[in-house]
Amino acid sequence: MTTPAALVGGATELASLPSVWLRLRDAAADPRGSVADVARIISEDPALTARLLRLVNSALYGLSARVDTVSQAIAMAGMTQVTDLALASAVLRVFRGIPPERVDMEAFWRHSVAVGTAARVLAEFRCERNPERAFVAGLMHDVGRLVLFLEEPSAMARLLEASAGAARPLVTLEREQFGFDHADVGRQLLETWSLPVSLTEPVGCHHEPWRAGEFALETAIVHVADHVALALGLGHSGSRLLAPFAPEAWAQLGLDEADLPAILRELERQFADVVQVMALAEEPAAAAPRRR
Amino acid sequence: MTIPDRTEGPAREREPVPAREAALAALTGRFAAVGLDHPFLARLHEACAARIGVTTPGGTP
Repeated sequence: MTTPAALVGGATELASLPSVWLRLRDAAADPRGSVADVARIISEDPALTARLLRLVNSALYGLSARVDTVSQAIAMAGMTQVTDLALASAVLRVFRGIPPERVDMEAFWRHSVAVGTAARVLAEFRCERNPERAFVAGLMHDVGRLVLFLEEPSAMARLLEASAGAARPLVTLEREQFGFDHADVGRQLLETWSLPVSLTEPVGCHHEPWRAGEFALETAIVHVADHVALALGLGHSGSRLLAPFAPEAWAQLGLDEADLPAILRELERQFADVVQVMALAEEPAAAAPRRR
Repeated sequence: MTIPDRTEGPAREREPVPAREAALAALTGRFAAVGLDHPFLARLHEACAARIGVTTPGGTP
């Protein structure tokens, strides 16, 4: 019987995030660090710089003046938001490194972006201070499934078939097959990447939000965002079925069902912008696909 | 369930619209494992149906 740690250890394509984000994280956390330090690190990565400026200049931010430099972007969007966007960008590069024969990466990427965007919209409807953090958690929520597709391709192919045939959620079948699910694997991977608990917990508990502790709200946001994105049919991560729903997660958000039409409208509007700005095809791969 | 077609007159409004019917069937299929019993799921399904131009009981497109 395998374990999440063993699977993550074998997935060399996903072993590390691009070093630019790790340097960025350290610079942002350094009390002696400055905006100039962070701006310099980002500017050394032309693809990241271009995407960040496109994002800050997109309709999502609705700025009246054009932002032309990373320093301006940090001044307008804030250090935390910019480092979170840089992390999102780094994660997209990881997605790009997956061999296409293992999983429909276009659908996977669309689902990931849709859940990230839905999480941000839900955070905005709650007037949360940093909706970008919700976006990053949503973007990464199913990354553990990539590990399963890479490391257990035969078993996952069987589970996909069984899920479609019996209308049973893939996550349920994963637990029956492995004794854990992709959320457990995702948490393990994010811990390997040394990401903070504010991200590992929402990713690790997004199918069982009652297990979350300190970041229960963030976990509830990702859980609900997953359902909203799947319901709208904005991509999928293998299965198109909505997974078991935890009513307490929706209750925790404190939103009204009557808000849903407006939430969906805003999600579709933002999704179109994010898809344009963060096109998967433009991402350089994090690592060359290995041969198996 | 009504599937209005706003491009033609009243006679066309009662006709099925295959693309919308297919989209509604796909939408309902995505809820197969969770059902529509919880108010959130019911309203989510209704709101998604409205986005594809379909009125479900209790909802408006």
